[in-house]
Amino acid sequence: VWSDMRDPAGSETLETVAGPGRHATLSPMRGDEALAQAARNDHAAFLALYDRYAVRVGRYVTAHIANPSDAEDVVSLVFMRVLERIHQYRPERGSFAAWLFGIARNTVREHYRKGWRFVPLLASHRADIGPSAEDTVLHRDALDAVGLAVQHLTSTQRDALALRFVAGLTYAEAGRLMGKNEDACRKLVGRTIESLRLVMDEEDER
Amino acid sequence: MSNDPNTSGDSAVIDRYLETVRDVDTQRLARLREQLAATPHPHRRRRRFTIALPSATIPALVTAIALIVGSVALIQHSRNRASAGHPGTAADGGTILFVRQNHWYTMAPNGTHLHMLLSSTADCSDFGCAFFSPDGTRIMVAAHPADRIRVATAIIRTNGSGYHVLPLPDSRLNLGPGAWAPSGSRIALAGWDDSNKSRAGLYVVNSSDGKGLVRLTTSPDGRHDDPLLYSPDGSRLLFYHEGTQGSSGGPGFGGLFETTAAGSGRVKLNPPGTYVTADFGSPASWSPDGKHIAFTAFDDTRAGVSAVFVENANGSNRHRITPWGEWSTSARWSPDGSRIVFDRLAMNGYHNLFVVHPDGTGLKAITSNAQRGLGACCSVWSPTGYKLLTSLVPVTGTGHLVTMNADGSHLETLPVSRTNNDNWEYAWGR
Repeated sequence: VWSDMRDPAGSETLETVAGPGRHATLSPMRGDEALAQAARNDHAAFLALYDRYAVRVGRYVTAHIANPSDAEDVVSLVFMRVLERIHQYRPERGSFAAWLFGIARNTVREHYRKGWRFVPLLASHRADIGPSAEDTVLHRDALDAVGLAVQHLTSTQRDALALRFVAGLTYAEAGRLMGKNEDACRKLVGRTIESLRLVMDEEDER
Repeated sequence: MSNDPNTSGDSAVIDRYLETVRDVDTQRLARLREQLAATPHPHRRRRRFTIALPSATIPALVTAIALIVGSVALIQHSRNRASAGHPGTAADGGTILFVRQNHWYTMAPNGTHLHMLLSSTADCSDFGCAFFSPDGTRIMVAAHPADRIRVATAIIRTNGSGYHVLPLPDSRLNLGPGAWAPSGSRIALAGWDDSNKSRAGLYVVNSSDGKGLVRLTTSPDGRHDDPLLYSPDGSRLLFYHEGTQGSSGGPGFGGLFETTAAGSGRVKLNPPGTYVTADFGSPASWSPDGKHIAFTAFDDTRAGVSAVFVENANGSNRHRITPWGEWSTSARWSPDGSRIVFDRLAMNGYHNLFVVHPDGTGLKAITSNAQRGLGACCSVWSPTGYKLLTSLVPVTGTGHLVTMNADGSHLETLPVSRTNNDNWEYAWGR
C-alpha cells in the first residue's frame, strides 16, 4: 500500500513501512512537520498525513489490541483526535510521528482503561496463518512461540517494541512517550529482544 | 527514525515479532478516510471542552432519546414528561446527570424523568465538562462565546431553563469549566490565551454574570491549570496542572495541586515520582470535614501502576492506603467520611470497584464484574452516601448505568445504555 503512494508534493516516494515478514524501514519522511502545520487549517494536508500514517497506526494498534473490530474503532478514534488536536502540534517539540503515536498510545491505554477486553493475541494470528504445508506449519509453530512470548511480555516491554519497530520511533522518542530516557529505552528494547530470542532458540532446538 | 536491529540475530527476532502484528483491514481504513474527509475541520477549537447548546435547538430529541433507552423506559419517560418537565426526586434522592453521544441528560435516580438538557458539538472524552452546583439547582458547562472560536462557560438550571453564557473579559482569554465554590456564587475556571501562554491559570468569576474576574494562579510553564474541587469550607481549591504529555496531544498526565481560595501558595500533592490524570474526572476528593484529601497517582517508572493516597489538606502526612495496582484513576470520599471508593483494573482487563477506609483498613471489592464480563469505572456517591452510581459495560454491545448500595448489593440497572465508546461523564447531584 505504502509503496504505491506518492507524497502529496509529488517529490518523493513514501517509505515502505513494516509489514508481515519484514521490519520497518522507517527513515524519516520529509515534510511531515510542514504538513502538520498546514493541516491546522487545511483539511487536504490532514488527509495527506492520514495517507502517510494510517497503516502504521493501524499496525501499532493491533500490536496491542487483537480484536479486529476493537482495533479498527481505536484507529478511528486516534485520527479523530489528531484532527481535533492538530493545532496543538508544535514541530519544535518533536517529530509529528512522535506526537501522533503519543496520541495513539494514550488512546490504546484508554481503550484498556475503559474495560475493554484483552483478547489473546494468538487467537487472531492463528486465523491469519495460511494452509498446512509443512514449511508453513513449522513457521506457524515458531510464530506461535514468539507470539506467545509477546503475549507474555509486560505491557511496558510490548509497548517499547511497538513504538520502536512498528511505529518506527527513535529510542529517544519512544522513551519520551514512556517516561524513560533514550538509554533506558534502548536497554529495555534490547532485553525484550533477548527474551524473545531465547524463546526462538528453544523452538529451534526442538 | 532509523531502524536499529542491532545485529542480524536481533533482526531475525524483530522480523518474527513483526509477523505477529496484523494490518488493519484496508477497506476499513478507506472508509475511515472518507469519514475524515467529510468531517468539518476544527480549526483552532480547543480539545478539552465540549460546546453546549440549549436542547431547544435540537430537533432530533426523540431520536436521541430512543438511542439511549429501551422501549419500556421510553414509554415510562414519555409518561413522566407529560407530567413534569424536569427530573423528580426518588430512591436515594437528587438528580443524575450523564452524557451520551454528545448529549447531556438528567434523570431521577430511579430511572424516570429522563430529560435532554443540552446538546454538544464536540466529544467530551478528556475532561469533566459539566458540574452540578453545590445545591444541585444549576449546572456549569463549556460553551462558545459570540465569536464561536474560543471556549467560555455557560450556566443552566437543572430543569433546563436559564441557559446563559458567561461573558469573557477580553477578546483573547478563554475561560472553561470549572469548580463551584460552596456558596454557589463564585466559580473557578480554567483560563488560557492561545496567543499568550503567560495568561494560563485559574480564574474566578461570579456564577451569575461572569463578572468580578480574579486571577488565582500563574502557570509556571504556561501549561494549563484546571480547577477540580473546592474544599467544603471554600478555603482551598484542588487543581490539576497539565503535564507534558497533555500539552503534546495525548491525554493529560500532570500534577495535583492545591491553592488557597485567594490564590496564595501552590502546593503539589502527589508524591515525587508520580503523576496524576484527570481524564476520567477528578482524580481527587476532599474528606467531608475538609481536613484530608484522597487521590490516585501513578508511578512514573511503571506504566499504569497506581495507588490511592490520603494526606492532610495542607499537603502534609501523605500516606498510601492501598497496594500498588493497575489503573486506579478515581478516589471518591463518601459523604459520611467513612469510606473511599476507587477503581482498579483486574488482570483480565476489566475494572472493579473497591472501598477502603481512609486509614487503609477494610479494603474490599464491591464488584466482581470480571466474572460477569463487565467493566466498572469511576463511581460517584449519591448525596446521602447510601448509593453509588457507576457504569457497567460488557465486552461487546451495550451496558448500562447502574446504582448499587455502597457494599455492592442491590444493583439496579438504569434505562441508560452505555458502550465502550461512551465516556465516563456522570454525576449525582442533590
